[in-house]
Amino acid sequence: MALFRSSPQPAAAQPSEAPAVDALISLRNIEKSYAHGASRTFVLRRINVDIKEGEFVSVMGPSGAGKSTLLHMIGMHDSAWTGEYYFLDQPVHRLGAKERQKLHKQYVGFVFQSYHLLDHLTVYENLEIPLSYRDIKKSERESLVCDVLDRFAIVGKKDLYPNQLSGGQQQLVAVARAVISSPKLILADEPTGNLHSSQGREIMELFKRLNDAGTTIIQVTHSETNASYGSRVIQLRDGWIVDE
Amino acid sequence: MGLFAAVALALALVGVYGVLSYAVAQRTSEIGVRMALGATRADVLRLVLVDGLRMVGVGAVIGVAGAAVAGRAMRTLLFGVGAVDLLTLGATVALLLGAAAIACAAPARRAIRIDPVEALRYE
Repeated sequence: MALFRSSPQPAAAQPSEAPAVDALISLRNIEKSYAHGASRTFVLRRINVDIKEGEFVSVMGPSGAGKSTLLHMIGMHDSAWTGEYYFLDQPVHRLGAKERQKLHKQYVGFVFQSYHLLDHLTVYENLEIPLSYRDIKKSERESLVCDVLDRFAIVGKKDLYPNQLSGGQQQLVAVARAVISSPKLILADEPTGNLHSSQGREIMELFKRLNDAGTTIIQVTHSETNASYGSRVIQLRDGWIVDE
Repeated sequence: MGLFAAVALALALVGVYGVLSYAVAQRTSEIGVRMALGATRADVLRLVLVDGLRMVGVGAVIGVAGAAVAGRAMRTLLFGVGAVDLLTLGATVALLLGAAAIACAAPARRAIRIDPVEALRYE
């Protein structure tokens, strides 16, 4: 979290520009802050960025810069921010919770640093979770899960539990879970942070293949090597974009 | 005897509430993951309530079986009431399930208010 403290009244936001015409995501004057008594601590400051469909963007910066906060905000997990957010030309900032959830379910997949697989479910059951929240019939869910198991070459592991897999295998399952509903956008929060270098390389190669096939990817990373797989780097510091 | 039964019921409900509250707290991270993967608040509520009522249902089955066995063992001591009174047993189970649903409500309401971003950081 940024330690930058502002005065109680933040500076007036710039008049917002219209979102870019061909952008998947357009952010205008996005800000997020927490109240501390009479003052506010800002985590994101006047974020203005456009991300086109098919881009592979890396968000980098020191710890506490606001990278993960930005990712969760883009992924619609967090609604406590101000500014304008357009996703596929839809004004997310004006949508209610249900509409945001619908957008998020339809278009976004998320990969976490700590995999966040559910330990009491098998690989098959973990893959099925996102589909079970999307009004898909059981027979179709089975077909989609089998297809992803085959695509990621993990059919033999479908009945194993996460604690029976290596870190790299768990993250592979987590990526499979993120893509199973064919999202347009994958958000990855330090996806190789808990992996050793060869496992990390496999995951990044996988992301590159997904991006080549048309999926937009935004990753938070500290690694220059991981950032080199992408086409663009956004540098954050103390909640500000300092370089693009 | 009525007071004794009421106290026993109250203790059972406190137990259900305590266990379910603990279970929701233990599952905070899981609930955050499920919400990040598309679960709505209604899905989370259903998850918590179904788990809670399943636990109570299993307890009710064991309790009814135990009551039937104890009733048969005590039938020589009973007067004016059968050893296995289905109406009494049925009414007791219905009352317990209804009261348990209320005991599940507070932890369930806490679960649906979980902030997914905070829950994902919870270990």
